[in-house]
Amino acid sequence: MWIYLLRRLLAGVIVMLVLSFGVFILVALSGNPLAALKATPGVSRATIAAAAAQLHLNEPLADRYWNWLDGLLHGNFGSSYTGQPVGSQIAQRLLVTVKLVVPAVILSVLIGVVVGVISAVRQYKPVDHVSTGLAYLFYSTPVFVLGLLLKDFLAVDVNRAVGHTVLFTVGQSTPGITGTWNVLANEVQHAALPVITLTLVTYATWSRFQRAAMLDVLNADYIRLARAKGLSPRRVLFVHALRNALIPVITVVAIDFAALIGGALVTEIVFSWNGMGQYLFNGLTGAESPDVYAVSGWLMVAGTAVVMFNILADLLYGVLDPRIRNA
Amino acid sequence: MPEPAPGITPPTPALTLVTDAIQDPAVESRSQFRLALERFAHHRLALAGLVVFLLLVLLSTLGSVFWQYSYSTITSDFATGPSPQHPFGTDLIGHDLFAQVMEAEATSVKTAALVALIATTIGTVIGAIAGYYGKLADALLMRFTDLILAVPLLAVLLVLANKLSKQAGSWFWIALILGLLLWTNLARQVRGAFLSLREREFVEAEHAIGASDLRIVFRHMIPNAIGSIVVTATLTVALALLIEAVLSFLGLGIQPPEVSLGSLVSSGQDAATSLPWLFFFPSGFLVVTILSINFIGDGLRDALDPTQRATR
Amino acid sequence: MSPLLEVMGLNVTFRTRDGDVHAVRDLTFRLGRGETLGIVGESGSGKSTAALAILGLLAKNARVTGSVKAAGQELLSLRERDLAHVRGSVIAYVPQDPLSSLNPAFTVGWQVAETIWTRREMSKEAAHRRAVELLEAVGIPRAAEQARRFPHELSGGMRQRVVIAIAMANDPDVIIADEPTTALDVTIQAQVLEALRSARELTGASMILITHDLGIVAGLADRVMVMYAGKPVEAGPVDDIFFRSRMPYTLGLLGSLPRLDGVGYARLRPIPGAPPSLVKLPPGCPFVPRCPVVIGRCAEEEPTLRLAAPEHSSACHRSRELAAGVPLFGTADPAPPAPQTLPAVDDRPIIGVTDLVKHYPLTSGRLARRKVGNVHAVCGVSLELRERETLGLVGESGCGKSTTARSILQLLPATSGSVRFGDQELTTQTRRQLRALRQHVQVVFQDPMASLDPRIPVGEIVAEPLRVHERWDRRTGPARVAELFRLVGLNPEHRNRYPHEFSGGQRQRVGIARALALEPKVLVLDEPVSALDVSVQAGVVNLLEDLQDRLGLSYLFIAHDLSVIRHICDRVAVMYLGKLVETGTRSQVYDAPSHPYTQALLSAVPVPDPQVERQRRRILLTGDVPSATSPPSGCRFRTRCWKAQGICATEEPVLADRGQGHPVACHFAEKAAVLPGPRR
Repeated sequence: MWIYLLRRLLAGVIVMLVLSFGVFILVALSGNPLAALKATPGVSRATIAAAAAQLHLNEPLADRYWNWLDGLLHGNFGSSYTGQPVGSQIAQRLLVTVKLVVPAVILSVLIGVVVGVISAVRQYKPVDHVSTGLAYLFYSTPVFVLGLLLKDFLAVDVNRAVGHTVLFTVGQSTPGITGTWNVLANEVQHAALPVITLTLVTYATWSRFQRAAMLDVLNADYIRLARAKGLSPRRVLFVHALRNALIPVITVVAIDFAALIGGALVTEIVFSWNGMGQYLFNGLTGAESPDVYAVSGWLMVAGTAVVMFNILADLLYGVLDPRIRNA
Repeated sequence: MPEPAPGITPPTPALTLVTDAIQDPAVESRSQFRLALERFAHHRLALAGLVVFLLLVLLSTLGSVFWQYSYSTITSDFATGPSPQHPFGTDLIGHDLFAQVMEAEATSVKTAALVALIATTIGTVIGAIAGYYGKLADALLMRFTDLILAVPLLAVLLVLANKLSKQAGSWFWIALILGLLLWTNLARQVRGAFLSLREREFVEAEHAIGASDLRIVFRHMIPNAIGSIVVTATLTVALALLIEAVLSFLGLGIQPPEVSLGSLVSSGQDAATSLPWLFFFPSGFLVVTILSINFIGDGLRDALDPTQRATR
Repeated sequence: MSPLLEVMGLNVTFRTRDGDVHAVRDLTFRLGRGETLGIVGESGSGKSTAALAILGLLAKNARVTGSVKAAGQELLSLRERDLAHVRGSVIAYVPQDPLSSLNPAFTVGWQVAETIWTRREMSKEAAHRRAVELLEAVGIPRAAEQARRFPHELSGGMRQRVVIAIAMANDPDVIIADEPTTALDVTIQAQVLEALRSARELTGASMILITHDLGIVAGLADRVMVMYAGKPVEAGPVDDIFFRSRMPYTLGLLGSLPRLDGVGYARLRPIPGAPPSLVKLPPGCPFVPRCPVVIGRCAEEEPTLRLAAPEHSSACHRSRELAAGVPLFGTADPAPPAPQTLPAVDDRPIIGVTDLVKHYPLTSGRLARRKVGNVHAVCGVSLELRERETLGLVGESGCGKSTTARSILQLLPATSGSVRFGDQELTTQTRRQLRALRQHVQVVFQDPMASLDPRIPVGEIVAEPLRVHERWDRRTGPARVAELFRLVGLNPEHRNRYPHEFSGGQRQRVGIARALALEPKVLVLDEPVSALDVSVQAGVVNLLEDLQDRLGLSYLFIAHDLSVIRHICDRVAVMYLGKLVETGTRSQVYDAPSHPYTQALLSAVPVPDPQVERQRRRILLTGDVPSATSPPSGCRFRTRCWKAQGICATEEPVLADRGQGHPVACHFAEKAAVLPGPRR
C-alpha cells in the first residue's frame, strides 16, 4: 500500500515537472512583456535593459526555469511581471475559489445522488423522464449561457419583485459591511447565483452517473438474492444497492472536484469573482504578454490538486471496494 | 437475440450429414448494421435530435447563401428588435443578427466536426495500438494519455489559443488545437474495446488460421469496436462545441471578423437586459445544437453499443 | 393435507422490442411436504424464469399471470413488502451464480447473519454464531475464519455453499435451487450436491431442483417435470420419466446423451433441429419440427399435460401409443458409409509434445500492478497424437488443458518443451514458417458465438482461411465454401446470413467448416460441445465422428465432460493441476482407473439413471484444487487424496506403468472399478 502511494506520488511529481517545463517554455515564448516599453518613444536602452534584468529576461530560458523551480522548492513562487508575489496572490485566490466550489460540490453531490437514485428506482417513470430531460438540458448548456441567464434575467426579476437587491451579481461581497452576521449574509447573497450556476452544470453529470451506477447494481444478481433472503425493500435499496452504487460516483466526484479547484473559470468571470480561474485568465491575457510566473504558479497549485485527488480517488475506491482492497 | 423461428414442416430424413441444420429460418437476413439502424429508429429523442440537427445545418448553409444580408453587412437599423426585415433583430452597430447566427452556427458546427475528425483519428490509432499490442506499447501510450489528461485542458488551450487565434482562419487553428487535446477519451475507449476483443475467441481463431495483424485489426477488431468509436466521436462533437463556445466567449477562440455562437453571446452580453434578442438567439441556437448532438449520441449508444451504459 | 406449494396456470410474458416472449406457459404443479421435484429443460425452456416468477423476483418488464399458493396463501397478488415475509422463511432460493449473487461489499458471514437478524428476534452476535454453525453444516471447513472473508476470496464451491447456508438460515418450507452446480467442476459439484442433501435433511424442506443435467435429477429428485419451449411437457415419478417416458422430447433427450456406463460406444441419436423461438410460437405442439412421430393433429392443436399413467402426465397426442417404448430417434441420423478407403495409417505420431511447460506471470491488483509470482499452468506434459486417432484430454477447469491446446497451436508461446508436427519442431519456427504450417493444424473453440466474428456473414467466415492463405479464387472459391457448408450439414444458401441468425449447434458447424477449409490433418477441439444443449450436442458429436472417418483427421479433443470423452476418444489423458496423472486407452482409463484422482472424477459424474444413482457409492474429495501459483510439493494431488502418505509430499510420482498396463502417476496406483456396471 505504502509502496503504491509512493509510486503514485512520484509519478505525479514527474508529470508536474514535465508539465510545468512545457508550460513555462510555451508561455515565456508567447509574448514579450517589454514590447510596449520598447515601442514607447524616448525610453533609453539602459531602462529597457534594467527592466529586462528585473524580469530575468536576459537569462537563458533554461536558467529561468531552473531558478523558478529552485525558488518553488523553497516555498517561493516568485513575482509576477507586475511585481506582485505570486504565492500570496494565489493563496487569496484559492480561498475565493474554495468559497465558490465547495458549496457547489456539496450541493451537487446531494442533488446528484438523490436524483440519480430516484431516477434509477423509478426508471422510465415520469420522474425519471423529467430528471433525464433536465440533466440533458443542463449539460448541453454552456456555463456562461446559464450564468448570464441567472445574472441578467433571474436576478433582475427577483430583485425587482422584492424591491431591493437580494441577489448580487458582481463580486464576492460588498465592501464596508460590518457585523459577523451581516457579512455572512452578504457573502451568501453574493455566492448564491454563481454557486447555483456551478451546481446545475455539475449535478447534471453526476446524477446521470449515479443513475447508471444504480441501475447496474439494481440489476445485479446479489440484489436479487438480497430480495430472495426476505430483506425489506428499504434495506435492499439502502444497505445492499446504494453501498455499491456510490463507489464509482465517489471517485468521479473526487476527480471533478480537483478540476474545479483549478478554477471554475467561466463562472468566476461571469460573476466577476477573483478566484483561481480569473487569475489564470488574467495571467494569460495580460496587457503585454502572458505572465510566465503567474501561469506557472497557477499550474503548480491546480495540477497538484488534480494529482492528489486522483490518488485520493483510487484510494477511496480501494477502501470502499473490498475486491480491490485485498488484491 | 431472437432465435430464428423454425418452419412448421417436419424434417425429412436427409442424405447428407444434416441434423440440426435442416431447419430453415424464415427470418430475413439482417446484418448488425440493419439491427443497429432499427434500434436507433426506436429512440425517439435521438431521431428528433437528428432531425433538428440536420435542419440546423441546412438552415445555416442556406441562410448564409440566400439570405439578403451577409453576416458582415452593416445595415442602417441599429439595435432593432425582431421584425420581418430582421427576423432576429440587429445589434448595436447594425449587423443583421439572423445572418450572423447562421454564419456562427456554420462556423461552430464545422469547427466541432473537424475537432471530432482529428480526435477520432488520433484516438483510434493510439487506442488501437495500445489495446492490440498491450504490454510496453500499452504502458507507454497510456502514460502519455494520462499526461494529456492531467494537463488542465483549459490552461493549455488558453495559451495556445491566445497565440494562434490571432491568425486568419482562426476556426481551423482552434479546431486543430482542440482536436490534438480531445482524443484521450477516444483512445481509452478504443483501447478498452481492443483489450477485450483481443481475448475473444474469434480473434484467436484468426491467429490460428495465420491471419496478419493488419488483417485482424482492420477487418475484425475495428468493425467490432466501431460502435463505441462512433458514440464517443459524436459526444466529442458536443464537447468541442461546448469548449469552442467557451473559448470564443472568453475572446480567445474565433476572432472577428469571423463569428461563432460563443462570440455572439459574448458581444451581446453587455446589452443583454435591454436587447435580450442579442442573448437569446445565439444562446438558443447553441444549446439546441449541443442538445441535439447529445441526443443523437445517446441514441447511437443504445443502437451500437448496448453494453456501454449512459454514464453521463 | 394441502400441498406446501401449488402453482396453477402460471404464465410469464416479457415485453421486448421483437415482440412478446412467452417464457413460461401454463405451468401447473403441486409440491408436497418433504418432496423433491426436479425441473429439467434446455436453455430457454423457461425453468429458471418459472422459479423467479414463483418468488416474485422477475424484472419489471415481465407480466405474470396465474396463481402461486404457498401454504394456502396467494403470492402473486402480494406487495413487495409482504412478499419479503414469505421469502427466505417459506420459500428460500439458491441462485445459479454464487459469485455475482453475493454482495461484494460484505463478508460472507455477515451476509448469512443478516438473513437471520433482520428476520428474527435475535441479537447480531447470536445471529453471527448461528451463521457460523450454518456454514459448518454445509461443509465449509474452519467456518469461523471463512465467515470473515469476502465473496471474491472464496472458491466457487465455497461460495455456492454460502448461498445454500443463506437459504437454510430461516428454516424454509421449500428450497428452490436454480442450476446450483452449473458452473462447478464435477468433483466440486459432488460436494455441493452433498451440501444440498444435508440442507434438505436439516431443514426438512421440500425442494425444487432446476437443472439441465439429467444425471443430477436422477440422483436427487422424487418427481421430475420436463419443460420445453416454456411449457411442462411431461411430469411424473422419477423412475417413470427415465424408464417409461411418454413424451418424444424426453425420449429424445435421454437417447441423445453419451453414457458413462453405456454398453459399447454406440452412435448417438440426436434430436434434429433446435428449440423454437418463444416470440412467435406457431400453433400446435412446439416440438413438431423436431418430432419423429408427428401426426396431422400435432401441428394444429397444442397438447396439454394429461394423465398418461397413474401420477404420470404427458403433453403428447400420442402418449398412449408411446407406452410400447419404440426407439424413436434411431433412424433419423444414419452413419454415412465411409466414402473411400483412406491411405494406411502411419505409425509415427502426427503431433508430438514433450515436456511442455507454460508459466504465466501473475500480476496483482488494480492499484499496484506488480508481478507476484508465476502461474504454473502446464508443467511438463508429454503427449502423442497418431494419425486418425482421437486423443481426449480431460480435467477440471484450471488444470491447464486449454493452455496445453493453445501452446500446441502456437497461440501461446511455450515456456519450454517441444511441440512437433510430424518431423517439424513448431516452437522454433518463425512467424512466416508457422503460417504455412498452420494449414495442417486447425482449431475449433468452445463458444460458437464468441468464436465467430458477429459482423461478418458466415460464408465469409468460412472463406477467411482461404483468403488468408491466398487460396481464394473467384471462380472456385464460392464452390469450395458451398462444399464445406454441405460437409458440415449446413445449407449453402445461408452463407450470407450472420452468426446471430443461427442456433448454437449451427454456429458450431460454421466453426468446424472454417477449421476444415484448409484441409488440415489435425483438429484441436477445445470443449467443442460443452456450450451446446444436450439435444444438439449429439448431432455435433456425430458430425465430428463422421468427418474423421471421411477425411482421415486426427483429433485432440479437450473436454471436462467425461461421458463425451468416453464416447468419442480412442485414448484418454487425465490432467490435474498442470500435469498428466493417467493416460491409456479408453477402456483402460474408464474400466480400470488406477489413479485416485481419475477414480474420484469418474465416481463424481452423475449418471442419468435413477436406479444406478441410488446404488452408487461416491468417492467424495475434500477441499478445493490448490492454487497453480504455488502447487503442492511432490504429488500435486496429495492435498485431496485419501491415500496420501509421507512419500507423496517428498517424491513426485512419475507417469509410468506401475503394473496396471498403462501409465499412472501415483505411488499407490491400484485398479478399481468405480463405474456402475452396464445398464440392464
